[in-house]
Amino acid sequence: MKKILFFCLVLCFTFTQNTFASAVEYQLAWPGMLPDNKIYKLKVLRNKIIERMIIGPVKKIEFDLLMADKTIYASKLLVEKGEIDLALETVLKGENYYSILVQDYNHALLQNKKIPQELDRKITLAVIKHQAVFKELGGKVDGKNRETFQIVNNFSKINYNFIVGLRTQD
Amino acid sequence: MNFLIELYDNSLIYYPNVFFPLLFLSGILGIILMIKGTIFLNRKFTKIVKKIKIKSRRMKISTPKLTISIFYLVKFAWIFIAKVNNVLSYFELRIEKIIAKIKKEILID
Repeated sequence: MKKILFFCLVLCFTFTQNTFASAVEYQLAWPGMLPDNKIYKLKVLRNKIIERMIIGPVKKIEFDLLMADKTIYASKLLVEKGEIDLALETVLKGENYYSILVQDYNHALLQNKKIPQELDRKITLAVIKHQAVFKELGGKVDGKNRETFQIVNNFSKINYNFIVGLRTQD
Repeated sequence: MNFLIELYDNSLIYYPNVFFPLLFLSGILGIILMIKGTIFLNRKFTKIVKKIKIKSRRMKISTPKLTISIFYLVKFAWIFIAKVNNVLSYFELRIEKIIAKIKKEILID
């Protein structure tokens, strides 16, 4: 009986620890196909179609966040592959997705849609994670490329400040 | 409705590689069903048209009967007119005879 109780306690402890860890850490979504792939343009086209087909304004925000995560992760993988120029282009596109997210966030609030708390928390955690990735990538490259990553990092801060402003207005 | 919209959005965002093939397949299925439906409706329509044609043929068959009856009617009318004519001619003859008698009497007197 004692053994069973002990086992249950250990199980509960591991699960609670896992949930706590997942709450703090933010995992970027796996990008799948990278921009150096020949058929990447098809994927971009597909994403554009999806963007147009989404109905809910809150879901649009979710999609923008997912795309920003994927694109920034893709730029990280490209830096690791040594394709710096493409990585720079990709990281700018990734941050652009976050800028679109800010616009959509504003639109959703204007339409009196309530942003779920979980999504709000995700948006904040994503910014922290994105900035950490920009810093990490800036450390891996040198010269003008590092500057680009710093600019993107500043963009990220501006975007997040805009979101904070919208939240306080709401 | 909201649940359906959310389901649609979620499947579109998180499972696009399932959503688009399904959309494609359902599109093809829709086209096939449309063709089948058109064929089915066409058959039904032709059946109805055939029925109408058969009915109209029956009507055509019944028309000689109608013409026959009209023929008899015309014949009967003809006979009736002829009889009336005979009666009238009989009266005409009698009137002529009476007038002739009266003329003779006047002349004698």
